[in-house]
Amino acid sequence: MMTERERELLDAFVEGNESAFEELITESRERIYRTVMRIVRNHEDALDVMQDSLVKAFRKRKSFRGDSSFSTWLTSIAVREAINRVKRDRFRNAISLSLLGSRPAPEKHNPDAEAERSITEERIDAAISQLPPVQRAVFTMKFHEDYTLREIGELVGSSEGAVKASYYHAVRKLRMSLRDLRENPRERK
Amino acid sequence: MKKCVSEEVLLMLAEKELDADSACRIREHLRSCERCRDLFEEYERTLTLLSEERIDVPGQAEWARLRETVGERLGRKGAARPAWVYGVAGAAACVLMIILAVRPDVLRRHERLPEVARSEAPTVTSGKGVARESELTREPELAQESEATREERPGTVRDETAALEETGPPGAQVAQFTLSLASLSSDELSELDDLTVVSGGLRSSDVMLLDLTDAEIDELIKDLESTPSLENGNSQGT
Repeated sequence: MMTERERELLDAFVEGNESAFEELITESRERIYRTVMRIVRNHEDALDVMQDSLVKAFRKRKSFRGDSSFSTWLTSIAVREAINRVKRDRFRNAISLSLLGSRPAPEKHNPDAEAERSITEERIDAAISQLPPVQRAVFTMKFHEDYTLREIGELVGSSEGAVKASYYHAVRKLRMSLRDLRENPRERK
Repeated sequence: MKKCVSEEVLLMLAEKELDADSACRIREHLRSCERCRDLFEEYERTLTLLSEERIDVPGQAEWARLRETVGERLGRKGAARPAWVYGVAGAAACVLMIILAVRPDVLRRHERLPEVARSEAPTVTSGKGVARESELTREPELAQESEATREERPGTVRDETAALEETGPPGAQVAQFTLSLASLSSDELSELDDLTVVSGGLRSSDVMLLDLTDAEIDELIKDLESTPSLENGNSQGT
C-alpha cells in the first residue's frame, strides 16, 4: 500500500524533480547494486551500469505508469542494462581477441582485493561468470534477491516458464562447475 | 522399476519449494535411490556454497559521487537554453520543412526497426560466417548471402540475432526480420530492448536464444574465421 509521501514523491519524480528521484532511489539502491554487481561481476562496471540506469530512468520517467512499484521498475531498467553490458563486452572482447590470436586472462580490476579472496570465492566467481548473461541475471535475482519467477519474468521480459528453465540450467551448470570444490573442503579458506 | 526424480525437482526440494506431500514422497524415494540421493546432496552443497558469496555495497562517498555524476549528465541534457537558441531552432525547422516538401528523399531516417534491421545492420549468420561491414572482419567487403545459406545447419549455434515479430491485431500480417546484435552499442541495445518490451514482439524463447556461453561464442568465431574469402562470393554451408 503506497503511502501519501510515496505518492507525492512519485508525482514529483514524473514531473522531473531530481530531489524526489534521489529520495526514491535511496531505499532500493543497495539491492539493485547487489543484483547488478552479481551480473556484471566487477565493481567499476556495476557503478557504470548504475549510473546509466539512473540516467535512463530519469529520462524515461514519463513511461512510469505505477503498474509496478518504483523499485521494480528501476530494477528492470538496471537488470537489462547489466545484461546488455555483459553481452556486448563478452562478444566484442571475444571477437577482437580472436583476431589477435589470443584469449584474455580474467580481468582484475583491483589486484589487492583479488589477493585477499579465497579460492572458494574465486571459483564461485569464475563459475558464475561462465553463465550466459540472462541466466546469470535470473540466478542472481531468484537465489540472492528472492524475486519470484513471475517478477523475474517481468524484469527480463520473459515468461515464467522460461525463467524457471533458465534458473534450473544455471544452477545445474554451477553444480557441475563447483563439483570438485564441494569434494575438497580443504581448498576452502 | 520406480522412475527416478528429475534434477529440477531435486533442486526444488533442496530450495524447499515443494509442497509437504510432494516433499515427503521425494524424500521417501531418496531413501532407496542412491543416484537421486547423491544428486540431491550435490545440489544442497552447491546452494550452500553459493549462498556464501558476499557483495560489498558502495559507501556513502561513492553513492555521493554517483549522484553527482548522474546529476551532471542530467543537467547537461536539461540545462536551460537562452531564448535565441529557440529562435534559431525554429528557423532551421522551417528550412527543413521546405526542403522536405521539395525533396522528400533528401533525408532518410531509419526510425522504424524493420528498416534498420534490413538495410543497415551488419549481419552475422552462424555457420555461414559471412560478415558484412562488421567488427568481426573489420573489412568493408560485402557478402552475398544465397538462399541456401539462410538455412541453418543442424546443431548450428544461433548467434546474437534476434528474431523479432511485429505484433499486431489478430489476422494482421506479421513482419519478420532479423537484426544482428553484435554491432550495436549498449545504448542501441537498450533502445532495442525498450522497443521490444513495449511492442511485446520479443518472445521469451528469443530472449533465451540471445544467451551465448563462452563456448558458443568461441564456436561462432571459429565458424567466421574458417569461411572462405568473400571476394569470390563463396560461403560455407552450401
